Amino acid sequence: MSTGLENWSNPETIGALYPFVGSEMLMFGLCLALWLLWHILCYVIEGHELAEDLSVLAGKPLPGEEYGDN
Amino acid sequence: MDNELSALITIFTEFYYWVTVVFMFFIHVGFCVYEVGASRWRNHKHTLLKNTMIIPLVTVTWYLFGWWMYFALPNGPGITGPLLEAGWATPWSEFMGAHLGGSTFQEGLSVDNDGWWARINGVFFAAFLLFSWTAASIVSGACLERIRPSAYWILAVAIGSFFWVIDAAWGWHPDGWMVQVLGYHDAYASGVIHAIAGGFALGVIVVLGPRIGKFRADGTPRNINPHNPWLVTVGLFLIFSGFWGFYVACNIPMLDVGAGDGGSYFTATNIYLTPTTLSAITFNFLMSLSGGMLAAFVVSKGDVLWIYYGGLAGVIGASAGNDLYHPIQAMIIGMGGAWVAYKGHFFAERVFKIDDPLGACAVHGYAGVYGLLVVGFMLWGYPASMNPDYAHVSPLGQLAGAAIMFGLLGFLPGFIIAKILSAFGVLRVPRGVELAGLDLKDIHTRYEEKEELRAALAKEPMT
Repeated sequence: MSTGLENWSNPETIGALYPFVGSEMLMFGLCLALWLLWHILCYVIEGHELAEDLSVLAGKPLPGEEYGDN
Repeated sequence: MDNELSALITIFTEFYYWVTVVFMFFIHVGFCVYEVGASRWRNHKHTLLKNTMIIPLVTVTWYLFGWWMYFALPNGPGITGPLLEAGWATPWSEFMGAHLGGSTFQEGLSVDNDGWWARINGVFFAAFLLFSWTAASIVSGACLERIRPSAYWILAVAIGSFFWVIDAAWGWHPDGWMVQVLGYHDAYASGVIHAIAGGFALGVIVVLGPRIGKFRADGTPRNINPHNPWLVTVGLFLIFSGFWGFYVACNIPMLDVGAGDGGSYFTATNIYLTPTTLSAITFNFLMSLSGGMLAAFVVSKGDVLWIYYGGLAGVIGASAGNDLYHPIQAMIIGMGGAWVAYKGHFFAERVFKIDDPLGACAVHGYAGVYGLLVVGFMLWGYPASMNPDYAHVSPLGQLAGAAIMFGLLGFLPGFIIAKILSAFGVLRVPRGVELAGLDLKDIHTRYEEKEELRAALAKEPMT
């Protein structure tokens, strides 16, 4: 049982080294989906963070010294 | 790999590009350090976050489509021919992973024709990828302290894994249609990286607008000085260091370009596969850097930060022809690059109210365009390729090339994508958050800690 390579004899005939050869298209689809999902999650997380920031700014005056422009 | 010579050339080439990647990593470290040094303390973490996430995002998308586009699009497609086959560069290719090149199973790939890619694909991919990070990082600096990171990352993917690859396929490929038809010459990427990224950045910040407080009510600009000039210095020196890797990554280290009598002639070549030497580009890199710094000293009246920017603008201004210039020509052209960047930056700021915090549009965009135009005159009539049927370098070809790089593939897409993001209200951080700082969460945490500390001290006063 092997997920790919079974021995190192005749290295000149060996092609792909990674396991599960033949699943490249599936891995491509997975990678594409993960990338797109990341952008969506990113907007969701950032949206929450900005909403939190705005509520902090609206509800509690913060000391001016914390926002010094230096 | 059954004889020593072919093994030596292949493994040397593999190692050569690998080393360039390590050097070019300094560019990205430099951009991170530089941007943090230039930003105000209340935005540091978001500035770092914005630039750091370029690494995974552009890498993944470069794997998904960028690398394939470079080999598939040299003809346009539809300008000089169809979409080209590039089986070794599709993201589902067996050559896009660990491979010894001994046998293939993928339809359309053969060991005889494409076997070299089994060894070289990853390192060549990475060398180009580091150019992609650079293109995206250039845009990052222009959007400092006001863009939403999530919006910036969409823009980063657009410039880093899509638009710059189109221009590379068209004008930075031995058979790109711009090389064939226009005689376009841009050996070390004045246009292919710098002008396009500068143009894209300009398109974005025209929509994004200036930082709050950058311009007074009467429209005169305020100079928002870098928070930490030491970090800016270290960052820019790291970029200079990485530039060495950038330059050598633009070459093919060892190639048989053929001798006139039909025999062999091995040499280093530029990306167009025309001969050059590492010696030539080392001379010219140093002299154009020096020219830029000397001129920037004069034009900025000794502003040390502009001397660093001027060094970069000097190299960028001369890069398009630095495979062929004489070093003193490179120095004088580099001086012009610094002058164009400095004058262009303040002209755009004064007249068009462009807030370009790190001078990215100027140093990369305007100096890059200048570099392309200069090549048209300096190398007028030079063959753009080893192929005698292709066009020769000319001022008109370079002018068209500059318009395509800066305008068509740079400014226009940047402007349009930023407009779309702005229309959805997701381009810029809310005004209150920008004023308080993008790191408001951390600042607020410190405030709460302070309150807790005060409460603790009230309970048990320090003695």
